[in-house]
Amino acid sequence: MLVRIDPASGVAIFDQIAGSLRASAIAGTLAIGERLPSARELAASLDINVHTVLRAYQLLRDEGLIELRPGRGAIVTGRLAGDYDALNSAVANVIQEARKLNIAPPALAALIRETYQ
Amino acid sequence: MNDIRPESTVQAPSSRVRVVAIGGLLPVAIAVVATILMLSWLPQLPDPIAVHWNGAGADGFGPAIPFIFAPLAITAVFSAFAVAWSWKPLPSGRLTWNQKILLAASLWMAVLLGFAFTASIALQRGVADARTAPDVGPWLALGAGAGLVLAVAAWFLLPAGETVSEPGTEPKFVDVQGDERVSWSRSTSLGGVPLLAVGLAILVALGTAVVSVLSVSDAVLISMIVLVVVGLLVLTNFWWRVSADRRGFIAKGLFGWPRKRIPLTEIRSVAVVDVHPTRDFGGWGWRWAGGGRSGIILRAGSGIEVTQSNGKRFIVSVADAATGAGVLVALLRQNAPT
Repeated sequence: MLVRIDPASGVAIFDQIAGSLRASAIAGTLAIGERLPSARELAASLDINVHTVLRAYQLLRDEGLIELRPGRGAIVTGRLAGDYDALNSAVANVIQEARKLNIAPPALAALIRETYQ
Repeated sequence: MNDIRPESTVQAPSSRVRVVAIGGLLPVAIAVVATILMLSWLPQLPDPIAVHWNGAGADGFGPAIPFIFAPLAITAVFSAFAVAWSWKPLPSGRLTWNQKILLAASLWMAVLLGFAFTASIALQRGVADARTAPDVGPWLALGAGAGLVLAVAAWFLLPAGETVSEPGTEPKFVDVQGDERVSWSRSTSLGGVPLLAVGLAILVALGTAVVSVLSVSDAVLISMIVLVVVGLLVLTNFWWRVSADRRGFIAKGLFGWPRKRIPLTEIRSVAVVDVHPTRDFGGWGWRWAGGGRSGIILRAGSGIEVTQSNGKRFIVSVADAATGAGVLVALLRQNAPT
């Protein structure tokens, strides 16, 4: 499980954490049954407030991706609906193209965000 | 004169000769000599003979023949196992540390058993009643000592030990920009055959405990301790969380303990390696191998190998090791003074 946050990005930290975990689930590296680190652990790992992590976990719980069990942490129980193979390979293509053109990830992210809207 | 040859001439066949001679033929020869000696004394022995002693004197009795052949049988089985385990040296002709330990142990055990059994038979020559058989304790200690001397000699006569480190895939490239913070973590746990073996070990410990409780002997306490120790070992070793973040490379057990952390500043390099639990580490769990290698080994396959600034290497077998190693590499790059 890879979580990545950028305090300077302007996007709320809890949103970034949830986004990272969703991306892991879509890419298939977050398997059902996998135990996520406890909120306290992940907060210490990223040097952020534990409530920020809890807020991200609660968001993902409401989406049905994870289950929060008191004392046992978070467990991946569901998967996001849909078949992501085509999306994953499309993303790989986009990144390959961006690397060729030396487009840095923030610029690529901004490009996707703006095209999406 | 010391035998210094270039590594390439130390070939597997010549290694095998030494393996068979030191770990197989020599132990069996010692056991055969012991058996012949004991058989020659057979007419002078009481019937039954004493086969077990406690601190106060002989407390177990039995027929002589099975007792006399026991060391040969045990030695033959153990040394056959040790030789089979070491049959394939590394391509360089060297042995892994576990193979060396097993072969030296085979010789040590042959000497210990040979000494202990032969001495206990020798002491009973001309004794009419086995209940008065003298204590064999001092001979047991002597046998253990002599075995140790021979085992140490065997260690140096055996082909050199070598730690193997098979390169796996490259660490995945993980892009970290500016002040971005990354945290990678993954749980890794024992599965398949090793889990079965562990289950079996617990059953054996449990069975021993039950049997000894039923037979109400002094062994109750000892078997209870064994049971608790085995239980603790399993609980603290079968599940780990591995993480890579600003704090470094961290592995911790189910209860947050045991815990191992290597700060980023103490990491020299990171690699993805292929782990063979039994060959490289002699088993599963938190293991130490020779040559400054230790690690948390729960499965065969990919692992993250971190070389510390003091040259020691720490390996954790974990799925998706390429990403974990990649995150560490990215963190090191981010941390590096520019």
